[in-house]
Amino acid sequence: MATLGPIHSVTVATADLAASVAAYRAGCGFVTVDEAPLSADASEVALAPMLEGAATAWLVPAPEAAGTRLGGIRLVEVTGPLPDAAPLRSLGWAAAEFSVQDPDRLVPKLEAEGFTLLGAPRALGSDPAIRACQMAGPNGEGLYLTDIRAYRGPMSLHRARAAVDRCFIAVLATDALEDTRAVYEARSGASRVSDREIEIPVLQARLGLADGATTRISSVAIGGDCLVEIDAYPAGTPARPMAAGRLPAGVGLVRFAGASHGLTAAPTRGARGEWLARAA
Amino acid sequence: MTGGGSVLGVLAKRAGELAILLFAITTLLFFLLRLGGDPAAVLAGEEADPDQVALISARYGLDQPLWWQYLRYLVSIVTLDFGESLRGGQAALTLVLDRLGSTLLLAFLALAITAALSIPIGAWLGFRPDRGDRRAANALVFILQGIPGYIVGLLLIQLFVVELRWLTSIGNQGVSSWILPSLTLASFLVPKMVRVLAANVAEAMREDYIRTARATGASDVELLFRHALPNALLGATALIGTQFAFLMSGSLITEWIFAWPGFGALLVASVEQLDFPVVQAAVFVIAGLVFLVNAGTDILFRVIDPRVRAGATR
Repeated sequence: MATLGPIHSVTVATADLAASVAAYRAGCGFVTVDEAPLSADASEVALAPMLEGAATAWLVPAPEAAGTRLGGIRLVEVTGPLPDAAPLRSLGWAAAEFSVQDPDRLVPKLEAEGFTLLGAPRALGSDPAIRACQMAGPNGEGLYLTDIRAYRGPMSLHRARAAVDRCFIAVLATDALEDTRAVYEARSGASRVSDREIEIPVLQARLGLADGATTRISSVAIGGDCLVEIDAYPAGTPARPMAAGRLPAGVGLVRFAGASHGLTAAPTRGARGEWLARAA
Repeated sequence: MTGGGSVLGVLAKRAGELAILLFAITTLLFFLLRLGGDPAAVLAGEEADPDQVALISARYGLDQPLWWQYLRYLVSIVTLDFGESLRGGQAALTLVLDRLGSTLLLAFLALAITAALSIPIGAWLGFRPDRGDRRAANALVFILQGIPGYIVGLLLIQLFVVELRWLTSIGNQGVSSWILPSLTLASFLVPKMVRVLAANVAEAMREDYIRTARATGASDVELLFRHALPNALLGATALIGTQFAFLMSGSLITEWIFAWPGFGALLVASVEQLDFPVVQAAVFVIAGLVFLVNAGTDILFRVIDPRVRAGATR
């Protein structure tokens, strides 16, 4: 069966394209590879027809600019105020996880560009295998920034090649984990990588969970050593704010490259209202 | 753990702190010892007459004004001349240093036992602390922490020496005589180290980076040994440095129970006998040793952890 992935790009709606582009270029070192306005056949236009002709910018990590151009971010300018993306507080695409080199150095740089720190990296030792922090982008999009220095597991994960490298995990918040996962397992054609109940402090803080409360997470491996991670949010968690005819706030759409089973360039709505599409 | 500053700068600062510490301790000790009684009378014995006491006093300069004795004492400290033992006549510092090796051997064995026991137990307790068996074990460790080390020593003697006759309990007579005193000394540290490690592992397992490790399929073993335990060990290593003084105090009791020929036993006997020069030399050495271990741990952290060196903590 053809597998889903890897992650081509994540789409984020923005009220100020120029400022968002500047923030990602200066903060993350991303490179702009395309700035064409949205055409009629673009995935985003299928979602929100009024976006036809909207200004966009497709940015990728510096190491990807001359290569496969995977794991980047696609900014789409929308008119009118954006609803509060409520990062890590609503169902749908909760966050895009990027591989980074040094969260401690990166955080102040991103904060200076308008990113908001949600969960700080901790200085735990001189050679931690994985260190991570959580931020909200300039448009409220959830971002997990992870420095993978050493990894032993079923995937082939390597250290970031630049200050910020590819998006390699798309994090999906759902209140029905098993149903959601079944959809992606059918799509991905790969077995699940994990299914655990763990404490996630940033979610405890964002969702108002009690100390010690655990969150069930389950991930499915897709192509290009990428993952779709499905997090079980508490029942009653609201859906992602989405004004009529517009993109969902925050990470609104995830595109997958490769032979994406069952997906087309036209976006598909997933089990919990998240939008996904195949990269053209 | 202080932040910032080069290693050399820290060394210089610590050398200054050591000098002040040693001055303060030796001064305090000088006056405290003389509150306990007249050493000349103790040396002369209960049946000595006043002439004999005066003779001993003159011989050791104990008949001089206190301020003169103190000044002479300070000068001798600077030259590391603590005088001679009032009992045996040997150079006090030499006597102490001759015994130091035995005490350090005991301390090293105790630390090795502490590491061998506390790391696996602490890791097991901290990995899933909410499970019933972990909670029960944690309660047991908490209770054990309250049992004095000398009780442990006496129980070990009763079991392995008196009942089973497997081991010896007197002096340093080879490897078999090392086991019980080093286990006794380790009992001062193991419960505390287990609890610190367990808490550090549990905290590490609650960190946000564990989410990524779990999402990418990292196993329990991988998580514990590659992620949680290394971070937990850093905190535990710092504890060893700060607990070294505690270990030294434990060695006094342990050496006394097992007649171990270390300087702890020497110190206890010297205090009883008001052998001032030996007491002063021993306390000086202990203070210096404890300080050096703490400073060494601090400096080691700066070398190992660049974030401590850069003062970058959150």
